[in-house]
Amino acid sequence: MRVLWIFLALALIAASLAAGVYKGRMRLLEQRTQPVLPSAAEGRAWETVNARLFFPKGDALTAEERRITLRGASDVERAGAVIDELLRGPILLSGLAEPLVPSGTSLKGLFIDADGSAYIDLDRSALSGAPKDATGEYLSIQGFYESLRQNVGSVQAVKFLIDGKEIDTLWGHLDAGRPVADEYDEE
Amino acid sequence: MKKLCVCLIIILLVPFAGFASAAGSDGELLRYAASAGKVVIDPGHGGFDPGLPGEKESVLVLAGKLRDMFREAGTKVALTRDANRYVSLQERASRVNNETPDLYVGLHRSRARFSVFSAIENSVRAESEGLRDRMLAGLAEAFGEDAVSSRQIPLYMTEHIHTPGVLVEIPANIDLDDETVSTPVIRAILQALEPSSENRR
Repeated sequence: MRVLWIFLALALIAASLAAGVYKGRMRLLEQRTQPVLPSAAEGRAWETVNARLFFPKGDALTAEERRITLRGASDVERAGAVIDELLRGPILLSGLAEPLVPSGTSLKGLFIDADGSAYIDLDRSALSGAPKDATGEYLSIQGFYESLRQNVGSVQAVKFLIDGKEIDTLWGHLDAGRPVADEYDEE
Repeated sequence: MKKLCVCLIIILLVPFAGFASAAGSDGELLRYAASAGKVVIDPGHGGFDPGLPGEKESVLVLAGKLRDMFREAGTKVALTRDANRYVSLQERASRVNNETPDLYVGLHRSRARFSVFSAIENSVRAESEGLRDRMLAGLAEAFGEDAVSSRQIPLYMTEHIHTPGVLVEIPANIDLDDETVSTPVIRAILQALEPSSENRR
């Protein structure tokens, strides 16, 4: 009888845990399907587009095709949706592809100026996680640049901000003080 | 008995032979080091910026070894940091440009292979590229072609310095505390300072 009670208690705990995990995943999924800039996109139709996203794999970038849903078709909205996908990281099918920034990094703001420079404002979590060498830093920046350049017509360069502030460098090797452009073209 | 004597003599001579060889090697490295005029060595990261695991410490130790060697050779030498403290890239570049050295050597670690990135300013580009190519060749000779990457990346330091120079990345799996490994790295760095290939071993 005692064994039965223990078994029932364990089953109850397992069921609660499973429900919690499921709920958490559903919440995450809901968050992920929110438009990046909901206030600007309110009242507009949803649109599903194919995006080509770039992630580091070894010492080069690998492309990953992904269907993304966005609301509104302005370049800022499209760029926001692309960055949101990049921040989620590569999907499992990409094999050994690596994320551009640590999991949990969020996009705090985005602006594209008249010259086509996209100003990507990330939160400080971007700088945490596994440190990068020069090639890793280069590939991470190149992943953002290449993904935006190929999916958002007006973007010609990218510049990073952390918590709204300009920075010298992201991970200690490359110049983040200016927009990066041509030298990051994927060969 | 005769064999025993021969063995004893050999055992006694081996350490002296090793010492003589090391001294000869040091002499050669000093000759390379003497061929530079004034040098700034720039060990990467430091303080709250660790770089790769163990990077900020190991490049500082290597920078110290190089500094001692340059000093012994009579070459003026300065470091952008000589302790475990953070120095921004802007400060490092200013320091290098204010010192107006003949040579800049940045030291970092990499995840996979040796890389050497050269300064890109027009007035120093050709000289820096020559230095880079000689250094890559020396590293390939010591560690094999597969251990070396010739990829060029626009780094902050190589973009902002006005002096001939290179930034060297040494794979993190290379144990720089092991002299049998660190000596070939130092040799490759120093022998690249001599432009004439005839002078190279």
